[in-house]
Amino acid sequence: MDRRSLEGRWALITGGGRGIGRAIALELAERGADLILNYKSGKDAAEATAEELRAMGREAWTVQGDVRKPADLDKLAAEVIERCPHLDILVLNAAFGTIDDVYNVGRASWKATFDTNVVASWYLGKSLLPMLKQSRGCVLSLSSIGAVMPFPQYVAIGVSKSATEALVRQMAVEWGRYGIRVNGISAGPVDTRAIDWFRYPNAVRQFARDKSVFKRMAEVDDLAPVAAFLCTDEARWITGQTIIADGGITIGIDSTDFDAQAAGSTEAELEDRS
Amino acid sequence: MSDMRKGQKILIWGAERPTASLLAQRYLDQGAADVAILLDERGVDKNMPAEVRRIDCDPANPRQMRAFGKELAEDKHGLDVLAIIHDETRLGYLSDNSLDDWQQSLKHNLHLVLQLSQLAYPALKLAKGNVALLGSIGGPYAYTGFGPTGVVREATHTMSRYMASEWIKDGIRVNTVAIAVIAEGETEHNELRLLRARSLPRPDGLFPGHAHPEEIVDIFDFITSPKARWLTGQILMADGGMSLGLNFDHFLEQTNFT
Repeated sequence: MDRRSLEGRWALITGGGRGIGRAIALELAERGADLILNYKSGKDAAEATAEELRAMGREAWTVQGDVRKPADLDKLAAEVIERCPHLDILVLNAAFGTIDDVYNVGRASWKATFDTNVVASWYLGKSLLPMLKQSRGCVLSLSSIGAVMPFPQYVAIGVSKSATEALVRQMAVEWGRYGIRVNGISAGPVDTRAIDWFRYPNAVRQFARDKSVFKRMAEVDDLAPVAAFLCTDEARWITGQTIIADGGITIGIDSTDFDAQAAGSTEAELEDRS
Repeated sequence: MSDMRKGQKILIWGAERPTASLLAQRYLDQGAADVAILLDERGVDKNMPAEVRRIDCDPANPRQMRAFGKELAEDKHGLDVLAIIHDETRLGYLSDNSLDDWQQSLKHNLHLVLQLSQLAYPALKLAKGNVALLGSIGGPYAYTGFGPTGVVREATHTMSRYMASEWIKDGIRVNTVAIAVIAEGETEHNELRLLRARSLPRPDGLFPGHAHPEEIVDIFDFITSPKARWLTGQILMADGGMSLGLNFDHFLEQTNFT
């Protein structure tokens, strides 16, 4: 038995038409899963991804819906329940965020961020719980290192993602009795079109390159295998965890600059300090 | 009595809680010039000291918030302490929670906390003040049946870190006290019996994890004082050790582990 295989399993990915969602879809399909891709506005991209998945020999279809709207989530869940023989994997990838600092972040966009990133995740999980119980399936939630480390103008997204990480733990504790595993992946900046939403996208790219121990920015293909692993039976003993996949950005402080400065200190300076 | 807060201006949200009355009294005893509470729909605890100024402002009411914002802006002293102990606890299994449970928990424990903090920011900046927020051990640790409460409180914790990191340049410190339960009589939630078997029993007979209001007041007092000048962006776990681990006594008795 190949524990890496997802043959015969069905996965639903919110925001699955492009970016990280698309990369996860392709990776799951590579391991044999059939897919339902939810999208909000990028119909052409979602259809193109579904076509790619079908070309790989997988079943794949798309469902339009804005996860911020409970009525759309109801429609999405109803379609999955009606058309899908079973649901084994739920990937909560769709996200929204406003870029601003704590003092200036607006009420409407703040609330929209939480409705999309937190409330929708709980609501869709609850709606599809009967199917996940039946399959003893798994849930995967996408998070961000902004949940544990403040970044400039990232408060709405960072705070909402910390709530999604807490939701992962809460779901894992409550739904483990049904054999359901719930995990998350926390990413640093990933080279997608979302980076251009930042006020200073080039600064974000530079930051990501400088702070990663690998001195490059993450690609969507760096995350997808981690996501797929967490959905397979290889990860059967992992639940309630959010795996940080950030190229080492948060593991500590790169002291290169400090070391260079210290190396430039004269003996006299060092004696003065002693 | 001391005068460590001589001339200070204090604002507290969560006036219905006995803990708020004790906190207000503590600040008055320390010489604060103005201790004020926000009057929302929940009213005021019966033991709230008479000297405490009542402000007719419910953070959920935008018109009242605008008016209060003007009052804050006209005050040339600024605000020394913003203490928020307001709480909306919504418990129950995730499979049973309603959308309203989530929206109310988010509104009271996060959205309005942000809006009040934003409103107070210029005044806090003027006085190089302190913000003290209420959190929950249900944020970093999942407890069955905690519903949206723990999830939203984790967001509060992270928001306080963001506030701390962005406002330290203005001399404002922000910290959070993460509690399990405050034993406040009528406001104690019956459902929180769920928590009782999970930690070390208290020698004074309170359930594990339950705090006396004075114990929480002491921590709010400390983190908003100059003695805590090197603390900011911290989540202080004030739970009597509940989140340290599980109490295995019962298990050990059952298995005759001696």
